[in-house]
Amino acid sequence: MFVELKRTGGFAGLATRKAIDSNALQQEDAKTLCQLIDGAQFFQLPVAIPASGPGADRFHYKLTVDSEGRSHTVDVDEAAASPALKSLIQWIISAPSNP
Amino acid sequence: MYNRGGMLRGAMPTPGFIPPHIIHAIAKNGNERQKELAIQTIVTSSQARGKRQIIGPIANALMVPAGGKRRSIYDARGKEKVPGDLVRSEDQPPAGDSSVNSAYDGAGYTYDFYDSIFKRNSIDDHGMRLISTVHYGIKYQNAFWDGNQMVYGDGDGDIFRIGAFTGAVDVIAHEISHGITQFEANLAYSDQSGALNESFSDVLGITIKQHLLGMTADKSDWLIGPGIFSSRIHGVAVRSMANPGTAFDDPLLGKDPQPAHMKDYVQTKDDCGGVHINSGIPSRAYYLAATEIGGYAWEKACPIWYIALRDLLKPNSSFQDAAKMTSRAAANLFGEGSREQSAVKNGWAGVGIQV
Repeated sequence: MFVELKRTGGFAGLATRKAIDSNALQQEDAKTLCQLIDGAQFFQLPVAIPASGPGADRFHYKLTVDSEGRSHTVDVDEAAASPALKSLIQWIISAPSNP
Repeated sequence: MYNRGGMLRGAMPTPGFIPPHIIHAIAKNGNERQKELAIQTIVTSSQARGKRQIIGPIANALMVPAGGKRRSIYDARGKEKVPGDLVRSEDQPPAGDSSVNSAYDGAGYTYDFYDSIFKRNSIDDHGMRLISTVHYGIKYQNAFWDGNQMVYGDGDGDIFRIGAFTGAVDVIAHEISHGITQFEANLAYSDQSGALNESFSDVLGITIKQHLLGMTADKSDWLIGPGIFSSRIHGVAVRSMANPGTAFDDPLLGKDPQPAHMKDYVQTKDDCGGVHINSGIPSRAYYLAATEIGGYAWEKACPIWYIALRDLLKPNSSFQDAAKMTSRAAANLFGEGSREQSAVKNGWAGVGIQV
């Protein structure tokens, strides 16, 4: 399984990218990643989850998961992400990059 | 939305649903917090401009204290929920936490600037409480305006210095100014209007910093967030208003992507259409105008920009509209054909926009 997280926006407007190949992860971590993806119901999410209200300098995430032949990309504003999606994003941010 | 006692809980998005007699009842019978919620409900997420006649009499009934500065600093304690725990209120002595104190002082300086230079009473011009949350998230690499309050992370220590976001008055003033934009022109946060929104926050941020330092336009470095990057980053600041695109060039972060001229406008889907990227163009126009006018930017150039934001611009305004409206504001303040207006036109011409 391949995961790519791109982050833009924020006060500094920096674009950062994180990619993870689950084959290169420890088994425990690979399992956790799967659970977080399922918990966020990632493959059922709409392609765009924008912020619904005012705000500025928030992060915007573009998250792609390629798994078992299916691929899905979601564009989400930090303010609009569900707690489960936030957990997935935060896990990806703190995991080491591998490809 | 209403609890059993008939009192408002939380802020409602549609002020028109609340009949004035309920507002007056809350103003008469409510405690400080309930009165504040009533004001917030009227003022939050509504355009101040155009609604001042409606909310004015009601707001007067909910009299804010003279002076109007009311700061509340909260600690999110590493969680990503706001506001968090109240740790310092207005007129309380410094806390034992430098982030709390910096957020408090920065909000105060920003409030005082808007009050003394523009006679503006807080973000909504009605004494809105200045709410700041510090220690948001863990190693959170950001500061933002959430529509209601300022929120500050600690930084990660790797890309951003720890404590950088609350320690910089230009960052604090930038965030507070997003609130002011929301209540005035309410520039839509995408594409050109969004880049203008970002630029106005940098314009006010840099001017407030210059005011703090007592610096004329020609002595300023025109850098936004110098020193918020850690020492490992090859860069001098997050943005340069004088020379967009030159603030950093780093192996990890890449090169500063800001354009300095319309011909280099960046078409992108990222960052809401590049609002932090294309803001370089209007920001440089301000830098050019302010340095051509000379002296202190808060005396002439900043009032021109502020009046355009407060009275003339709209949510969908483009760079061309901003050029026209700042030129008009300059004419209103200093006269048609004045050297101040000329400097504004030259500033925009310098970034490729003719007015």
